[in-house]
This record gives sequence, C-alpha cells and structure tokens, in this order.
Amino acid sequence: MTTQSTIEKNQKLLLEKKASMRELVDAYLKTIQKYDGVLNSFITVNNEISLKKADLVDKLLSKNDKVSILSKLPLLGTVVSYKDLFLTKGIRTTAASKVLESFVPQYSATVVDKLENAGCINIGKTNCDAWAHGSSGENSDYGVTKNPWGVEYVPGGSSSGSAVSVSANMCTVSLGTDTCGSIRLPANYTYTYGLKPTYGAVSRYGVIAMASSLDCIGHFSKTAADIKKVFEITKGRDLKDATLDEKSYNKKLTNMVIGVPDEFFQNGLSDEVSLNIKKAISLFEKNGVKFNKINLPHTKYGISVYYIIQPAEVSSNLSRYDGIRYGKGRDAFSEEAKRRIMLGTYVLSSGYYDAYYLKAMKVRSVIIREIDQAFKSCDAIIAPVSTTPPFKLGEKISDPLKMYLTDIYAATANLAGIPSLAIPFGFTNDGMPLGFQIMGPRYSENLLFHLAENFEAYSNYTIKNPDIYNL
Amino acid sequence: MKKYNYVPVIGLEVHIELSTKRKMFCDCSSEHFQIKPNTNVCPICLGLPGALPYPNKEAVKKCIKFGISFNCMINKFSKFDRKHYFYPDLSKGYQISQYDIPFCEGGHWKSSVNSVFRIKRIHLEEDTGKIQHRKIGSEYFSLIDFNRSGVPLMELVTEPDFSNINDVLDFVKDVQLASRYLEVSNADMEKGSMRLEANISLRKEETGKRDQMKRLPDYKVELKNINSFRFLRSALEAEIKRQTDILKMGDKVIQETRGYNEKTHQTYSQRSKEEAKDYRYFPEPDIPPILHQSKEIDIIKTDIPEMPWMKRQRYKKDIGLKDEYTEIFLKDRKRSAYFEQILLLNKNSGLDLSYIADQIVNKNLDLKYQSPQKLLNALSVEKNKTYASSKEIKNAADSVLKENTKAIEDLKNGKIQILGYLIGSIQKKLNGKGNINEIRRYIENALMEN
Amino acid sequence: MIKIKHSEIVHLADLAQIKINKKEIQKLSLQLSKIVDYVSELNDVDTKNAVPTNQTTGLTNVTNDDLTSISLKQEDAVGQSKNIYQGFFKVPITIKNKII
Repeated sequence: MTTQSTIEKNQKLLLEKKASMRELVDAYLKTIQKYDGVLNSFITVNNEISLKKADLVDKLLSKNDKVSILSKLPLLGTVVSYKDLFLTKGIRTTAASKVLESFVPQYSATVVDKLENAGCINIGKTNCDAWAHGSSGENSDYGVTKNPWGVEYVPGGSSSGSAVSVSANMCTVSLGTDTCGSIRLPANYTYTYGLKPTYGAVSRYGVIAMASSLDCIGHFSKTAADIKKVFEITKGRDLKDATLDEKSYNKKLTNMVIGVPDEFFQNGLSDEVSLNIKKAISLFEKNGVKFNKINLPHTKYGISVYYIIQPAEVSSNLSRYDGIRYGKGRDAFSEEAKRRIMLGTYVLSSGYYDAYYLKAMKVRSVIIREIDQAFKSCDAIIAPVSTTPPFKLGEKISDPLKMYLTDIYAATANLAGIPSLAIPFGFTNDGMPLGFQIMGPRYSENLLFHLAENFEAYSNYTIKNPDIYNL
Repeated sequence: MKKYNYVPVIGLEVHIELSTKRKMFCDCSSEHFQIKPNTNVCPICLGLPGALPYPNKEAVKKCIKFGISFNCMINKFSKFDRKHYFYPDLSKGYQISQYDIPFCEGGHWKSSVNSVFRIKRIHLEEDTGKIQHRKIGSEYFSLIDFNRSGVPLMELVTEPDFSNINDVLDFVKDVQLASRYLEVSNADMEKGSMRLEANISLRKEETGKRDQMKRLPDYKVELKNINSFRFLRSALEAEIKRQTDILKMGDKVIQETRGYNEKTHQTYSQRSKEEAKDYRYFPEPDIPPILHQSKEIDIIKTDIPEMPWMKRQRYKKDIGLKDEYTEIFLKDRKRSAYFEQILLLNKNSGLDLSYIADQIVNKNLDLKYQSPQKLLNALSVEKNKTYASSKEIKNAADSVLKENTKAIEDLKNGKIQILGYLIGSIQKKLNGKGNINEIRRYIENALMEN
Repeated sequence: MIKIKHSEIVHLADLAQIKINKKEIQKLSLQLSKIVDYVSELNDVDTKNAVPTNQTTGLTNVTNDDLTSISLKQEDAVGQSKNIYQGFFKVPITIKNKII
C-alpha cells in the first residue's frame, strides 16, 4: 500500500473498500518508521492514538453510506501532521524547544479540533525551528530536519518538519505557520504546495504565538485541490480569536492580470530562481494570462520592518514562559530565542520605542498602501519566495543577519496580511526543488486556488516524490 | 520674618473590580472570592501557550458608564496595550491594560462645598493572580492562585488636586457609592474589590500669601497597601507629619513607595530599585480597537442614575435635610429610592420632611411599611392623634408609682419586665391616650431621682 | 555604525529575565549592534503622513457577551507544573519582584 496519495485518492480507496483507515494509517506509520530516522521531521509520532482513531473511522464507514459519511467527515481519509506549535490535547507539544520538552497541553487548538471533526487523523507533531525562529529548519532543539530531496540540504523553515512529512509521504497534509515565509519557503524547497492564508482567515487560538500581528495558520499538500479542501475546513470565525473575519472573493476569475514586481527581480536573486519563474510566467502567458510590471519600491524595507516588529512581539509572547505553571525556566531558551528576545526588548524599551517600533509600524503602513495600490492594476502578484535555491546545511547558520536576509520576498505578504500560495515548479540542475509564490488581495484565496489549478494544467503538473528509498 | 507652611499635594489611584459575570478576556467566572485555588482558570487567564484574549463587552460598558458619571470625556477611539513586567502572579509576563488612549479622560468630582477635583483618566485592565507567603517545612515559599487572574479591573487616577485629608476621604467614599449606584462593582475594601493608593508630597507656601503659583513639588511618595478608609486617613496623617518633619529640617524627602503599619501608626519604606520601571508598552495586537460613537454615549448617559454628590446637594439645598440623614440615605440605594418616593408622594400629605426622615432613620419605618404611601398614611394618623398631655401623664404616673412601691424595688433590683407592667398600668389610667415613650421616660426619670 | 554597549546588553537581559554569561554578552553586543544598524535604514523612509499599522484586519469592536463557561479542573490547571502545593503553584519566596 502506497502513501504517495492525495485526499481524493484516499477517500476513493476507503469508499471502494479497497483499504481500511487502519491500513492507511499503518502505511503512513511504517513510512515514518522507515525514513524519519534520517529525515528527523517528527518530534512525536502518535502510534497508538492514530490507530485507535482509525478504528473509529472504520466503524463509521461500516455504518454509513458514502454520501452521509462524506457530509459528516469531508476530510475522511486525510492523515495530518501538525507543526509542534499547535497545541494538541493530551499529546506532547514542544515548540521544538527544550523549554516545553514535557508539556502536555490541557486543550487543543481550534484548527486541530476542526480538522479532527472533519475526519482527519493526527499522525504526529512535526519538527521545526524552535519557536518558529528560523528559515532553514536548523534551529530546533530536537535536531536538524533534512531535505528528502537531498539530505545535505536544508528543507527550509521554520515549518521544516511539516513540509518534509508531506513531501516524503509520511502524511497526506500538514499544518504549519507562516510569519515571514515559514510555510512558503519550505514548500518551495521540498516541491510541495504551501498556503499562507489571509491574516485573520484561520484561527490562531491554541497555536503557540510567535509574532501576533504576523502569524498565519496555513498548510502543506501535494496538489492545489488538497490545499483548497483543507482551507475550507480551517477557515472561519470562532469565539476565541478576536482577530478573525470571514469574507468572500467576488471578482471575476477570467482575463486575469498578474503583476510582476520590478524590485523583486534585481540584484540578490539567483539566476536559477529567476529563470525558473520566467518559465512559469511564459506558461501562464501562453494560456492567456496577462502580466504587467508593477513597482513596489518600499518592499525593500520589509526585512527591516519585519526584524523590528517580529522580535518585539516575540519578546512579549515568550514572557509567559517562566517555568512556574508549565515547562522549564527561561534558562532553557536556546541561542536564537535569546537573541530575538533581547532584540525585541531593545526595540520596545523606553527611549527606543519611537525610533524603532513606532517607525516600523509607520513604514508598514507605507508598504501596505503600496500593495493596495498595486492591486488596482492587477489581480494577483507573482514573486520568488527565496533568493536562492535550497542551500546546504550549515551554510548560513553562523551569521544571523545573513539568515534574516533570506526572508526578503516573504515579508511583504505577512506585513500586509495578504494571502500567498507557494507553488512547486521546476528543479535545479542538481535536482533540488524550485517554485514561486502568488499573492492576492486579502480574502482572495479562491483566486489563488483557481490560478494554481489552472497552472497545474498549463505545466502538466504531476506529483513528484523525493527518492527517499535510497536514503 | 516670612512664615511658611507645608501644604499637602495628594493624588489618588483607585482600583475597582467590576461585578461582571465573566472575566475581562475569557469565559471564566469573575467570582473568585474564597474558592479553592486554581479552580476558576482557563488557558487564557492561566497564560497557557497559544491562548488569546477576547474582551468582555459588559466590562467596557461599565467603565464608560462610570467615566461618564464622573464627567469624563470618552475617547472615540480606544485600544488595549501590553504592559510588561515579570512577577509570579502575572501569568503572561504582561498585563493587558491601556496606556496612551484610555476609555475615559479628563473628568471631575465636586465636594459638598463645590470644590472641584480633577480626574485624569479611567481605564480598563485585567487583574493578576494572588500570592500568599507560607512556611512549608523549614523554608518559605510563595503560593500562587490564579482564580483572580483576568478579573476586570477599572483604574481611576486623579490629578494631585487634593490638599485636605477630609476631601480625600469624601472622594473615595463617593467613588465607592458611585460604583454601587451604577452597579459596576460592590467596591468592598475588605474583599479587595476596591483598592487605594495615594501619592503624597508637600509644597512649601508662604503663610497668608494668596494666589501663589501652584507648582508641583519635585518628588512624590507612593502609599500602597491601604485596605480601609480608616487606615487611609491615619496613613495620610502619618506620612504628612513625616514629610513635614523632614522638610522643616531642610532635608529632602526620598521618592519611594511606602506602606502603612496600622500597629505603629507609621509609614515604612518598601524601597524597590529606584530606576523608573520600563513596561515596554505596545498596542495589543490580539485585540482590535474599540470605537465609541456619540450616539452610543448619549444612550448610555440616559441610563445613569442621579449620582450621590448631586443627590447630596439636592437634599441639602432643596430639602434642608440634616447631613447625617443625607449620608445614611446615600449609603443605601434602596432606602434612597424609598425616600425619593416619599418626596413625590408627600406633596399631598404636607408632612415635615425632616420629621419623616427622622422617623425612617430612627425607627426603621421603611422596613415596617413596604409601601411609602402606607408610611405616610401612618405618620399622618400619628400626627393627628391627640395624646394625653404631659400633666395628665405626670398625674397618672405618680399615682401608679405610689401604689406600686414593691414593684419599683423589684425593678431597681433588675426585674426589667416590671417596667412593662408599670407602663401598662399608667396607660390604663390614661385610657390608652398616653405616648408610650413619654411614659417610659417619666418612669425612668422618676426612678433616677429617687 | 550603531553600537549596543555591554552595559545595555546586561540591562536588556535583566528586563527580559534572560541569564547570559560574559561570552554571550560580547557575542550579543556584536550581533545585535549589526542587526540594529541594518534596520536603522528605516530612517530613510518618509513617514510624515503615515499612521502606524498594528493590525491588518481593519476590525473594530470585537467583544463577547457577559456569559461564563466551564473552567479547567484544578488537576488540569496545575498538572503541568513540577511545583505545586495543595492546589497552588509553589515558588521560592519572591523578593523585589524577582524569583531567587
């Protein structure tokens, strides 16, 4: 039984009684057992729990007909993994940090409950950069996660384990967070789809907060269809997150115009990435999608704005970890966490607030205004996610600023709160994955899904799997 | 030679726990008094990873109402901010409070002689958990209970306009009354639903010289942990004396935080590090801002009853009621409402209002007569009744007392029930027309003289 | 080039309740100075007419009604702590706002 699958394929197997849920889950567990020793994408694997839940699903399957079971469990057959920032009641949640090594949450995140109620089975908690602090997957207190396409390469971060678990077929879909590319970068680096929804579309309740005004709850999959299916369940208001809103996208989905930001294709972007996107653009153009040049002159300041606002909010959100009510004391924070806490404390401290935090909030407004203006002349914006293809482990880890600068293309979407879909496309000469992102106005996810599904046709997209059998 | 005196410059900070059902940012009950520790908590008020705040509509409404009643301006745009500091009873390592744009700003309170005292601001924040220190075995520990964490707290800050302790006491009593009138809080000092802090300094002024520049002194001492009105008075007196003595010697008063020791009647230093606390305030990203429109505020205004200080003025001026009766009615809203009914209905009976007030206060007639109209009727009847005259009472009493010398002896020896017998006998002689109280008084006087 | 002094690093660590040794003070001083110097490029941006953005949702007045729901059981509330005593969280005695 293969785990190289999609939600639809799994549902077909189950409903045609070609496999039971238990057999499916077992297949995923065996894949994890076999390959995760090398890849290190999981921190906790739910061996017994997932099988027990599978048995419950099988019971329901035997008692219900196809139509009624799909209406009860629209995500029937979906095996999901969660970045270890998502609180899962009764299942250890560590944030990939030693601080929460033994923390077993008393409640689950809204999104976890929603997905479980829709029929998903939680197979495990994935590795990530501790507290989501990182872009490579090298900052975990539980070891580095490897890229299944080439184990000397980083998988990208901070949702490293989530991307790898989907890419290496250890689960059907995975939930992650994107504060400045933390879903989109690992998606591009592992040849998977990664959605960063509109800020305020998906509840953050029960997800360990990194930067409150930037964090987005998103997910990984292998097809545009699956990305859409999961979003249908995760989106929507709850009475726990006060920043949620629901809106629909009402613009026409024909005669699309996609903007190409001039500033994003200048110095610093690797030729391989640049050429690859241009290939994608021609595929779109061949099929009638128009492109126009747009200017986003202030997006170059996005990194600076981000590296003031984010550490400030991080330093605040990590204040609750004092070791009294749960977890270990503040001495258990690793180097990167300490660095961000200190930086955040600095920019918020008396005497510096106006020069840094307040100034950053104002420049953020300028960037947002620019993006809003750009969307008047295009429906969506195409851009690279990373300046380079996947880099090797250890290449950037010793220079924090160098690492921070990799976030340059991702920052825009988080600062403006707009959605962005990372689409897998192309490979480097060394066989490492490439991709790009498409951003849309707030609440335009349907537009992004539409463009992605069309692009799958334009590019004759097929699911690609890393050759993990030779690990 | 110029003569100087030191005038107190006092500002107050009052914290009031709101009587909402739900806590400020979560669905836990805000009733936390005397229940088992950590049984009234949830991920939000316990500061668990991933929890998010969701503001209580009613708490905001109560704060606005309170601010309006103190003549505050309500900010059309307002927000919450994070205030950072580390303490074991602060579960998130920051308190969600309000920094630069509080709900209410710029109000005032008037004393009974119409002196105006300005209110700087009133804002909403969440309360912390509670710590108690205990010896367990041979070591000392702090035990933390988060039941109170997240309860809505209103903070009222005045300008340093107070220079007289009586005004301070009148003000805090009115704040307590207002809380009860508006039903925003029980404002109980003993239960901790009202907490006081005072900032005190002294300003040197030339005696007798009018219109001096009211500069603020260059220091202030913060008095904390005062848990009753009585202690507030003593603490202020003690601190004023302490500062006066220091300044008279030509020394400087150290700017610090002090507590009050009710046993020694002295304030003592709670000296913490002298650097100004850096709370690193920034706007709360998890809570959208709160906007208030003029229409809304006007509607809330109509919902505000007459405030105690307005009622006080009215009772004094329009009715000429004695101050002590006024305060008794003000303290009890139910009684006050009863008396207001009387005022309305009395237009027909025309009885003396002071007399009615006296009857209510001294005889609790408002408890006896549930209906104000019935009370008025009863009093009218009393008034119209013809009593036996004092002379008639004297004659009847003298004759009864003469006939009952043994009874009188028994009474003097402690048999109190004899008194009732004597009164009854005298009343019989008077054919029931005697005023019982007058009869009793006569007997008591007679006994004393004998 | 902006330089964050060692004494400032020590003060920040104190504010943030982070323990750091001499080596770390040195390292952080260099690293943070570099980062802060970089982000100071924002001074080049004209923000005269810009209103600070602290939330991108544009939402206002999001509140809940004054209704309660069930709280955690005591054993769940304190169960994740290693130091509890009769239902309380227990810490060594606090002095001057710091835990010893």
